[in-house]
Amino acid sequence: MIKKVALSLMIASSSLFAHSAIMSCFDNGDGTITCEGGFSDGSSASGVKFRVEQNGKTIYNTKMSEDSEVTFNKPSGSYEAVFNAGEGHLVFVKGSDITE
Amino acid sequence: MSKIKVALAGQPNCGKSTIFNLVSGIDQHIANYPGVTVDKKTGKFKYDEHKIEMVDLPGTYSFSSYSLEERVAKEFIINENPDVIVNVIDASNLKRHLYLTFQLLEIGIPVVVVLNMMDVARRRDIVIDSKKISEMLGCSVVEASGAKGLGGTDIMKAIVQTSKNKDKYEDFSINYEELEPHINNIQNSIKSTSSTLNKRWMAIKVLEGDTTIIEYLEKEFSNIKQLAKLQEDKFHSLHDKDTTSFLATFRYDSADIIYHKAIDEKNKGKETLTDKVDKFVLNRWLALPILFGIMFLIYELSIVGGYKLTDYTWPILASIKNFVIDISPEPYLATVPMVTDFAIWMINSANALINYVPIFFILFSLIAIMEDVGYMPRMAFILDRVFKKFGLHGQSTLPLVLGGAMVGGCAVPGIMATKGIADDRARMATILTVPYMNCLAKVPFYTLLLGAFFKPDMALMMFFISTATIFTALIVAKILTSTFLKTRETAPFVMELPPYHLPTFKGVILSAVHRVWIYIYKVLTIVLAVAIVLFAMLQFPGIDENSQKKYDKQLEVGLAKFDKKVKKSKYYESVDTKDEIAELLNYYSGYKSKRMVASGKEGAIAVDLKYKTINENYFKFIKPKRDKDAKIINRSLRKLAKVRNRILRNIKNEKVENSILGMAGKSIEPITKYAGFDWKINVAFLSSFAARESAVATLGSLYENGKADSQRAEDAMAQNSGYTPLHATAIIIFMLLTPPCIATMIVVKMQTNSYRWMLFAIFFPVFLGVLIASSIFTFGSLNNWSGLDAMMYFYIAVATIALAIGLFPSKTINWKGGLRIKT
Repeated sequence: MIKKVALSLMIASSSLFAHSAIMSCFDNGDGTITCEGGFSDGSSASGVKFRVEQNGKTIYNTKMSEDSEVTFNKPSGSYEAVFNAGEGHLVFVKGSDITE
Repeated sequence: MSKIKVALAGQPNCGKSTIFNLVSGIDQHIANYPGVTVDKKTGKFKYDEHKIEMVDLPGTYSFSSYSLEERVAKEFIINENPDVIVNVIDASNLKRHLYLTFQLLEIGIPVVVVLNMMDVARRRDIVIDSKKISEMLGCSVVEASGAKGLGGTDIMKAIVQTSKNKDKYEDFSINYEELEPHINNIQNSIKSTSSTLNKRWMAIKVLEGDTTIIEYLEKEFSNIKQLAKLQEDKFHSLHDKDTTSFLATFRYDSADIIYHKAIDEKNKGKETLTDKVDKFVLNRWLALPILFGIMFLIYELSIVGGYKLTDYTWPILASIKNFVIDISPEPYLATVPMVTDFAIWMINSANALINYVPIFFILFSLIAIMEDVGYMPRMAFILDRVFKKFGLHGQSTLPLVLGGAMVGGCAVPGIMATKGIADDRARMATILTVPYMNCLAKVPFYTLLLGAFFKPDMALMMFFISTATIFTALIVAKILTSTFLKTRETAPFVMELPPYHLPTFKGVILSAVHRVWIYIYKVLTIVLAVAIVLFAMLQFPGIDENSQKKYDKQLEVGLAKFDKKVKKSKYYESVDTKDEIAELLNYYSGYKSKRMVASGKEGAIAVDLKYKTINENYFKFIKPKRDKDAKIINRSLRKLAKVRNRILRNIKNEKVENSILGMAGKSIEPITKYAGFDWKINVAFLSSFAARESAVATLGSLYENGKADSQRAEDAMAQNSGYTPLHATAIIIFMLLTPPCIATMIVVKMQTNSYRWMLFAIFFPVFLGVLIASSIFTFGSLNNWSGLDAMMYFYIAVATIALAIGLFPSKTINWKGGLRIKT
């Protein structure tokens, strides 16, 4: 019971990073996609987990570089880029929305 | 167009403020009465071609001069001479309220009586003949129900009517029979006064021993005190009665007459709905669990709900930030103009604070609902017994709750809310302990450390942190009231439990907006002022020449690489000068930041269109599509941007290390190392003193050390710093015990009216924090405690001490006076 109470307190408070997670992606036109992550208050997203999912499976898993970005090979077919900064800070970008 | 000045008077909980909100517009101004921390609420509005100025006087049970509120209300009447006094009465409690009514009638200013809460009276089958009351008292009586929005027009009509017919007013006077000759005597003595106030009223007040009136008259009649005493003694020897209680009895008897003639309580003694609910709420066993349940609900709603709201508000903040960046001078390659740096720093600080506004708005609304409904006084009543043991007061509840009872609050409105505490010692203790509560801005800091060092036990640690604060607050209160505050005045806790009411929307919103405004105004102005100082302290003296040369060289290397690669492109001309490259880099970073803020596909397309319009050429280099030559430039541009950003980061880190603040952090290392802090932590603490929100950003950026295998701030800290969870616990405990921010300290000064206490409020907690954090760390290291162990020991210690004090029956000396002969 205590764990539940504490957990909800924690969830509530962890969302209080006082910022929201954001990400934008670009198609570089050379077969690679670059996704840049960040937070609404400007803090750096370097080191934040990032993955690419296709058909429910993770096909690429890494962390944001010190420039807060990741460049990966463009998968064929539909895919989703996921910026994972923890509970309540997940950003999904569909491959179909990433234009050249 | 005539001006009418109206004073709203009534006993506490009569719904005065609701009536005030009902008739006045939103143009309400809350200030202080001169020299004291009592709120003065004024509303200015037009009614039917008349300019109305309405002042909501503090609620008082009577019109003597015992309490600050009564004195303030009386001084208002004396100094500002209102045209009409509106006496708001709780119709369901008529007899008691009439005591004040008679006192108000005697002042000699026309009165309009408002029977408020008529709906409650009707529900309780209380039948009131307001016409009869009006006849008997010789004044207008209006029926109203403020909470239901009824009666506003009638009230205003009565006010205007009364004011128009002012010249027909006949001085109201009660026949005090045996006391009359004495009243006349005093009245004659002050006959020559230049005051426009009713002389008979003043004479009666003098005989009552009213300090305000006596002081007022002493200016003209220096012997007024002796005259009064003479008459009082005479009266006493003739009738063996004391003037004050004699007058009080007469007024009660008069109220009784009205009651018997005009009111019929059909259900006297029957249990009301309020009584029924109180059976549960104030139940011996249920009271506390219900209290915790409600508190928990409030915090859940405000934080979860508030956070959802921030999803909508932060894009606004982000666009303001982008706007600021846009109008600031552009960076040139790896040189960022200080103005731009400064602007970004300031807007970041401001945004961090403003981001909390939605959360606070919801929190304060919920608290306002609790106050309006009538639960807050009950909470104070329930907790008073507990608080008393620690030297606090039932009324300390609201400030402590605002300051952050469970998860998060803000100390600034919390301390402002201590205004109402009558007991001086408890008030001081509350002001000095609110800073120990859970400041919302401290939370990201805890989360950072917990994420780095206590990942598996995060929930448990957070629970410890949030609940440890109330224990420490109580213990500190006990320490303070037993030592530094020992000699302060105390006052008995006498309180009325008002009947439960449905809250009014307007009342809740106004209260919430008022408190949020305090937060925004005070915190923003103070924090920004401090942020300016901090900026200077983090910038100067800057990096030395050799470093600058090193970075210049790195930039040259990057530029050379760029040039070499892009020569091959047919667009080379557009990027063959430094100026052009600088422009392109800025164009690129501007584009990226706008894209980050844009939402969805349409947003992205909009940004693309905008940038294409700005410079079609450059746009090609950002989005080369199939253009091979453009692609060459694109690739090299991205590489160059990376180089530049790395240089900027390194410059920033070096600047901080060399800065005044950095050196300050280094200088206190010898002391803080016992708590396990190194200079970087010290700098973060020092800079976060402006606002706790900055702590995370500063700490995070201090640990961004340009490593290729990039890590998040927390992971970086966990690995780089060589810290152990034990360090983290010490840091967390230090953070827990130290004051949240400078804004809080300034508000402490405001409420205590002394710089000495402000300094105390800064240094005592810091001293305590260093002491305890160091002890925990040193003990823990010697005994090989884990971080979690240390936290648990701290928690157990604190909880035990608090419980011990709480449960220990305290018998203290409760009397004073007597005759102590010195031999």
